[in-house]
Amino acid sequence: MASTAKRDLQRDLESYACGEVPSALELLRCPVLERWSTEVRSRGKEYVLLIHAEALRHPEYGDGEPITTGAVFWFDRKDRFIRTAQRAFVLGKPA
Amino acid sequence: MKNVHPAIATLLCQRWDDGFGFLHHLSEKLLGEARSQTLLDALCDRKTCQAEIRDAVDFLYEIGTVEAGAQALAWSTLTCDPRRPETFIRVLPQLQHALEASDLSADDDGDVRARVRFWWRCAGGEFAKEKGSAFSVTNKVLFDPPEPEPKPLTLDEAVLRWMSKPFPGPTMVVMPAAKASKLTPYNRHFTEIVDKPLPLVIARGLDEARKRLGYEFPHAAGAMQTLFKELREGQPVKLRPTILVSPPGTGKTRFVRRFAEAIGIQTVFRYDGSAGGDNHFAGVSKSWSNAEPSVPARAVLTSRTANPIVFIDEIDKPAVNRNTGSLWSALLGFAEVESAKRYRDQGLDSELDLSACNFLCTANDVTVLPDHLRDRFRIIRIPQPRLVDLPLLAASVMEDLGREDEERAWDDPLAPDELQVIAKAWQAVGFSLRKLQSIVRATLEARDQFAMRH
Repeated sequence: MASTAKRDLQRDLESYACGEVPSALELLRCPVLERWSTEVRSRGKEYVLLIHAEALRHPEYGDGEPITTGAVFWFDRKDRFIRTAQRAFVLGKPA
Repeated sequence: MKNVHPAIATLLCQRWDDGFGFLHHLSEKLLGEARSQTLLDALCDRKTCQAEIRDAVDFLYEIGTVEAGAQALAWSTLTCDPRRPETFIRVLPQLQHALEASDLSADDDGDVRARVRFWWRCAGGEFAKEKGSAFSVTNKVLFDPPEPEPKPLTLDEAVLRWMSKPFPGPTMVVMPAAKASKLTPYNRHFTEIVDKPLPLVIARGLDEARKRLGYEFPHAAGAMQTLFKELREGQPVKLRPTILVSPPGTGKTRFVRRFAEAIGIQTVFRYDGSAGGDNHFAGVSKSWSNAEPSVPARAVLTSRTANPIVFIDEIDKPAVNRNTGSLWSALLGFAEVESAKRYRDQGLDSELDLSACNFLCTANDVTVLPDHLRDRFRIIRIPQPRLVDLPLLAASVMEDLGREDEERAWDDPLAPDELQVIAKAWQAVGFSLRKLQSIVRATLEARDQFAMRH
């Protein structure tokens, strides 16, 4: 399971790096982050980007529940979506 | 650096212009002639240029190849601006991923990672006030030599700086502003301690001090025990007003100085009782043009602590004149905690809390002191040295001579036969430390004279 998630992440990042974006259908399935804000957090010597937001359509959280995502691996240049190690999120309105 | 991700190569540029030049050359084919020219033309205007770069990024991503995508990411590094931390957010996650996927030499890897880490800090808004592009700021902060060491401070500057910081230990305000009047030009320097919590000197290393002083003043063991009984390790130094009495030449003055040093008090403010012909000790009234604050107030200012030792030497020998006042009457206001706590200094015309000041005095004869003074001061007698104290006393005299004269510092300790001669001479003149000093000095000179010469 873990390796599948890793493979999915790798595949997604490669496709984003080539300029692809998740399809409209895929985006419809993704959880949405509303009123989001970013935080740069140091982790050991390195840094990671986290997003604080209210989740919608999240499989593990109720709608409107405040969440903090894991480290962001891809942040779309037009603020449309992000990709963390687990899943892609659609970005709603920033806080 | 072949086959390195173009974004990483761009990151290593010293300036934004270099990055632009490098990418422009790299992407010329993919972007096409017209778009490349537009980019160049836009260089003169910052806003247009940024818009053109974003267009170019979109265009490259639309091509959809790995090469074009990598170049697109490289171009987006040019949109990062330290003054707008959010511009880094849209680039850094993917840039970090590109770095993890790259295979760099150890040197380059360290360099690039340091730069990326710095960019993350920019994303956190740490350098939002820096002027310049992300590239120049990175180079300036990471690789420019640090500024030369600042000049060492003069004593006054160091004291001022030290005084401006709050003291971590116990403190006490000696001169509260609420009870102070306006200072005149003569005592303006006291503004430094107005409302300032001054440190209370803590007694430290008492066991060690007691041992060391015991060797140095074997005859004063009783006096020492009484003084040390009042001190607590790690607590502020506070002694009851005390007069040390003994015949001349028993080393009282030196004892006070060494005692203060040993318990950690830096400033002993010495006032010569034999020179005191009036009540100058309590200051000169502010209504006179040459007003002067009292001796304890000056001791507090000099030491910048609330509990200095005010040392009145020869308290039994001031001139006493009813018309001009005397040292004895001037002392009354300080000798009791109750009155010292609210002492109105006539030189400053301000109420001072001098309750933490320590008063140590020496005298040869306390019978001449007025009753009211004997009442307020604790009297400790220091007996005259005895013959048994000679070895330790002679050794401490030797140490003193060594401190005065460097050549003496390497002298051999006194031999038993020399000590015997000294003992005889010392006994004959009465056991005075001042006499012992001259006898030891004479012995050492005699030793030099008769030393074997090679």
